[in-house]
Amino acid sequence: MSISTLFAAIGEGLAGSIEAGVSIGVASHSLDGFPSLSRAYGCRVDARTDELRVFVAGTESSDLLRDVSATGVISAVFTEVSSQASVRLKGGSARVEALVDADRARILAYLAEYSGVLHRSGHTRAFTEQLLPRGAEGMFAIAFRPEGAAMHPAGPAQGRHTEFTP
Amino acid sequence: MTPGLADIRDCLDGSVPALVATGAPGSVPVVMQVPQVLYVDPRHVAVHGLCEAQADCVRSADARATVMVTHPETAASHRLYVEGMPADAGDRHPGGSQAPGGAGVGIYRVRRVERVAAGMGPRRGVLAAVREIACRIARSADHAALPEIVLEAIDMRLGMRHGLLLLSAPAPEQPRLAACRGMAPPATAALLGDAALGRAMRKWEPARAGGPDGRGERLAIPVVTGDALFGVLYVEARERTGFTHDDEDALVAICHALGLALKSWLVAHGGRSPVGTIAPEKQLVVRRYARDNSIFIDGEYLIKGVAGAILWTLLKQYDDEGTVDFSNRILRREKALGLPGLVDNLEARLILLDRRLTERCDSLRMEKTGRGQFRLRVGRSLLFEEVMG
Repeated sequence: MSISTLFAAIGEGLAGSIEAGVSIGVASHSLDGFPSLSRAYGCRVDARTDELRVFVAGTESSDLLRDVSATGVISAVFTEVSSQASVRLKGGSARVEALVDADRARILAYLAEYSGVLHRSGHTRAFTEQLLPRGAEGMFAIAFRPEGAAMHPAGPAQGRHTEFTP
Repeated sequence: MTPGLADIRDCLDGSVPALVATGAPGSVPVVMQVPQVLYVDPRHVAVHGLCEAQADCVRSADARATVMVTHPETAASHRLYVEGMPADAGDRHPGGSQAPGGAGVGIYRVRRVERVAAGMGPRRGVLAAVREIACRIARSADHAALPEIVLEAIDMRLGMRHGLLLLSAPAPEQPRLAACRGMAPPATAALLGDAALGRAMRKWEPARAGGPDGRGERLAIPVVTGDALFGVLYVEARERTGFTHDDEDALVAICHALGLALKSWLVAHGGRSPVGTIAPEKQLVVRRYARDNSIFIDGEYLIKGVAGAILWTLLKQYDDEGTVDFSNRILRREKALGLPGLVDNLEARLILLDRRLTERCDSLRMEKTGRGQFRLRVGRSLLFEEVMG
């Protein structure tokens, strides 16, 4: 699924949130099927390769990076803090890559924006400073082209979700 | 040292949404952010708000999942490696029911806990604060000043800035507001209708409820000594996400010290309390016959059928969750009600139920609060009896 097709399918509002200050979780699985899971610190649409790139901290994500490298399987969820609206994407040919300059800039912008979102939702500055990395050091990009998407407009178990496939 | 589930209990109070990835061999894992992962016991957690695909996965024999939880104050993060439980085991468990609104709940057995980030470390000095406050209570010669002393102390030493203490007055008067700090003094009647405070008074156990504007949390702790309930300590978390288990433990210990001080006054003054005590009230016995959903209140027949199922659902949600506000829209999702397809049937049955309560039961009322919305008023604590077959 091309990124433009994906965004058209999930709608402008949710598509815009993928690169905004949303909560991001990324999962894969080991060769024997056990899920690996990590928090991600930003996402960037790479127009050149028509892929998404999500960013994870190496120290927190060793199992996930190992599993993505071994299987190419990825599932990522993007959740708006205020509404709990979520978009879930999956792919089967994900790769682990080093960061490029555009990734680093996106990570810094994400950390600033997400920190503000958490503070406005009631968390203390001390909490957000502890939760989020200071910068892009030690991070990796996971590049993938979505092969399916599911939307949960009002939280995971509220209402019905809609699923799209290529 | 590898942490156990009990060591990270404060990460499991539902204050911070968690990430859950479920999977089975041969399938792409499903990852979602869920609103709550709650501590059940040293080996199990309850995951609330699973999406459909994940809820299905929990019940399969080879279900596996990884859960990521975060401490609400220190931001310490942990991953839990868990496995699902069969449907019958989950159903037997206290948490194995459906959450309000039909959200999926899964009970998981925890195989391993892994620390991801250490966070700021645990808050220091809670035990020292409890000791200091308990000593102040024990040494106070002026029992009338105890309510103010307690509220000031938990503000200064535990950072709980918004609170009040409701203590009983000599019968037959209602309990009265003895002290209030960091908030406008509310009317006693409004307090008694509060979900957390009302539950703490009915059950004689700590009770929590969400903040009034959807942020923060309310916590009510009964002041109990022996067989007497002296009142309730009530606090609100406004600037923070909620209260930790340590906070609750600290307040319970402080309320015990307060209760003992009030009781010692009773003994020393020939039973004349500075504030009086509240005697446990007579419970309202609600009996349901499952075969036709007929409901009896204190042994008297009230209603049956779908209206009976609705009343049972309302009262169980009130008793389990402290829910008092209901909407027709949410009720329609309750599969247990067995509602027929026609939309108007629900409204008709609610009208019938409201009328029957007005005619036959002084302790239960339904008050309309808006279009398709109503509030349940329960005047006595409830005792449920269910007759199957």
